[in-house]
Amino acid sequence: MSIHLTPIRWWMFIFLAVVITACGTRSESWPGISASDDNTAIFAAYKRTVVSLNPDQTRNWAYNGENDTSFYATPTFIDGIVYVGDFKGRIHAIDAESGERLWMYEPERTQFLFFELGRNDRIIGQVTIGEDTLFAGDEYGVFALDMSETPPNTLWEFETKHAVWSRPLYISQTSVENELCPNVRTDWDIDWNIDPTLFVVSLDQHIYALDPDSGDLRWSLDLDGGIAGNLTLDCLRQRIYVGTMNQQVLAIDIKQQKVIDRFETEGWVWGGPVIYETGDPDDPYRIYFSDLAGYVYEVSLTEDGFGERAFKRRLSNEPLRATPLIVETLDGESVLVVGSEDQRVYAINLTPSPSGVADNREDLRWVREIDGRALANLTWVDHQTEEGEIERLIITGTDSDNQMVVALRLEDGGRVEWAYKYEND
Amino acid sequence: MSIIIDAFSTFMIILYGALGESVVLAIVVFTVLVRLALMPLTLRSQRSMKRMQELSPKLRELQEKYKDDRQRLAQEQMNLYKEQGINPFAGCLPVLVQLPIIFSMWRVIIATLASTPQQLLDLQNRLLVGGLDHLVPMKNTFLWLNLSLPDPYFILPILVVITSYVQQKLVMPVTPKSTKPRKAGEPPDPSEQAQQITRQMTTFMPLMVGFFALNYASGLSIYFIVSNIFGIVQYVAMGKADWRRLIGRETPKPETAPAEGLALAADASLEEQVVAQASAAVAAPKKAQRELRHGISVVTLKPEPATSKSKASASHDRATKSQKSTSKPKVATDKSKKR
Repeated sequence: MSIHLTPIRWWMFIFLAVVITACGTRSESWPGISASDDNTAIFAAYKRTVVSLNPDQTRNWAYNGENDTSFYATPTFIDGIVYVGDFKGRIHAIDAESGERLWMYEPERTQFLFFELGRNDRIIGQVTIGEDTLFAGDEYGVFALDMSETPPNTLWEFETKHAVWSRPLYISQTSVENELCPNVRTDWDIDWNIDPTLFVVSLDQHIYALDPDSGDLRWSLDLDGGIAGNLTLDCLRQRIYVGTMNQQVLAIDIKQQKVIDRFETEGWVWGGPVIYETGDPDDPYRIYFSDLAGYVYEVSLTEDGFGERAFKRRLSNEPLRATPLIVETLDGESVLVVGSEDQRVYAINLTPSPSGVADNREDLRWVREIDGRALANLTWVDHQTEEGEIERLIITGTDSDNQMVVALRLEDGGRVEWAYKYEND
Repeated sequence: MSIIIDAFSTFMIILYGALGESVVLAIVVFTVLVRLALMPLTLRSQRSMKRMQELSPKLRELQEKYKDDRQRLAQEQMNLYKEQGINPFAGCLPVLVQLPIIFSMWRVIIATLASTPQQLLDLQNRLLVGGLDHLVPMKNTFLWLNLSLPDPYFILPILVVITSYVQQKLVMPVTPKSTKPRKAGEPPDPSEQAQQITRQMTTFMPLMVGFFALNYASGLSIYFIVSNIFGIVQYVAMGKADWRRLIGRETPKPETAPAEGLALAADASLEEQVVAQASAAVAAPKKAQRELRHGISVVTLKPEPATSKSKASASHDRATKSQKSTSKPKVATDKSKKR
């Protein structure tokens, strides 16, 4: 077979070759998954759509963004409203009941012929809400919106040297007591005694402590590695833990404003660490994190930083990107669940044996294969079956349109209860 | 191609670290180094096309002689190539070898700037050497630019179009449109087609790269600009720059066939050479193309004449061989007489 290449065909060939080479074929992200406070509704943002699903897979609503953008960020649910940023820098506020848009914030742009001039503020991280203010990271840094007005106006902008993909952490006495540390035992008598502060980590390898009212910098630290994952607050010790691309998890003391300890990992740490309360008075807190080399770690926490490593286990040869989820079964057993790029979800038992020694925690509870790469965040919901029984479901998302959202039964070997297909209405 | 992208990405990050964590410097040095590394292939391609250029008067003669018999023309052109030990497609091969590298560079710049979560996730798999993690992701701000985004003020796209245009104008010959009217039903003159492509390239290529510069990361624009400037400097260093071409004029030269355009195009950027080779392919009659493709291994193995004296003797030998090998000895004899 011969193909006669006329000039126009050659031009088309070269043009297409370049476009195809440049674009690639894979989706550029994965779904952002979250749940309502009472774990009865699931919110998922992917491509052009945000959906609200019930634990039985029925869809409450679907919200479509503008034609020219897509959602990379995880939705935030607060007080009946779902907030989510998009790849064009817009913030959408959606009524969690009806799915109607309440308002949309859009950065200023100027139209010039066919082009838009101005910032192209890609929002990839989850937004944070704190006392009438919305904080969001974007391609240029972080900005705050004054939500006392509708639609909200920009309160301030703080520029970093690289994008902010992680969720800003807003700390005030109110947020600590009501949202961040509601389960801290009262006998520990935590007195934060700090001014409200917004903590932001960036791909520029820094952590910034900002005044949430003005955006003024209070202090910053060079962390020696880019950060794409979220910050984790240690309510007891007033520390922040964060994983970096320099294969480390850092413990940062808020009061001392310095890194007090570093834990070396085998690969980049993208997802945030997660703290687990053991119930043991001598060893009350342990921290878990995973890395892109496929390892999961359990480390004890001490006054000086990280203590003894309890275990380090390679679950996969592919990245474990998301923050691990620690969830209790209905029988009160603690399970750590983590998703991998190898299209599997892994569940590990954390509950100590009756003797109090955690000798079974390295045991895999189950491994479940799913359709796409399990790179999305994990959450859980309770689902009432037709027989009236309650079952706990692990919810995650994949980059496969067939399983944009997938629900796995925690207590039944991770069996897929249902999968929600991506639909662009 | 993945292994090339991985290796280049690793090299790019190493350069970035070695050059004080400056992305722009890393892109500039990386582009220049890769272009230098590809120089032997580029020069080989140029040499091949120059030999085609030397043949152009004879090709024109054949075109005139057999203008009414295209099949015969194709046969005679093929014979001529064989006699001269030239494969008109040999110039394509070095360019084709370079293509994956050119496209890889494109991909590497986008991959290492990692402007989306997926690109960043991919990047961690691409690093072939340990100890580079503290350099990732590269700082992407430079002056007013976020290098992972298009230039919001169009300054880089404009520079891309200008440098691309200047390079095109310097290396492409001024090719006047044919004044000879074409009869109805008459197939287009292959040489005219080649000229048409050359003209299109001068206007279309800068616009095409400008389009990409408008829509892709501005780090890519820096690559285009550096690559274009490298091409211009290379051309100037070889003493071939004729700045009058910028205003559409050219130093008077002996009349040549369209193959000269191809030879000049060989001095152009790698991307442009691909297009130039395309025009060669379009210009050559289809039958000749087919036959020549089959004859590649034969013709490329022949040694090249070293001196003018040996050239003459080699030419004589080839003519003799040609007489033996051709199925139509009379034609070959005629040609020998003409020579």
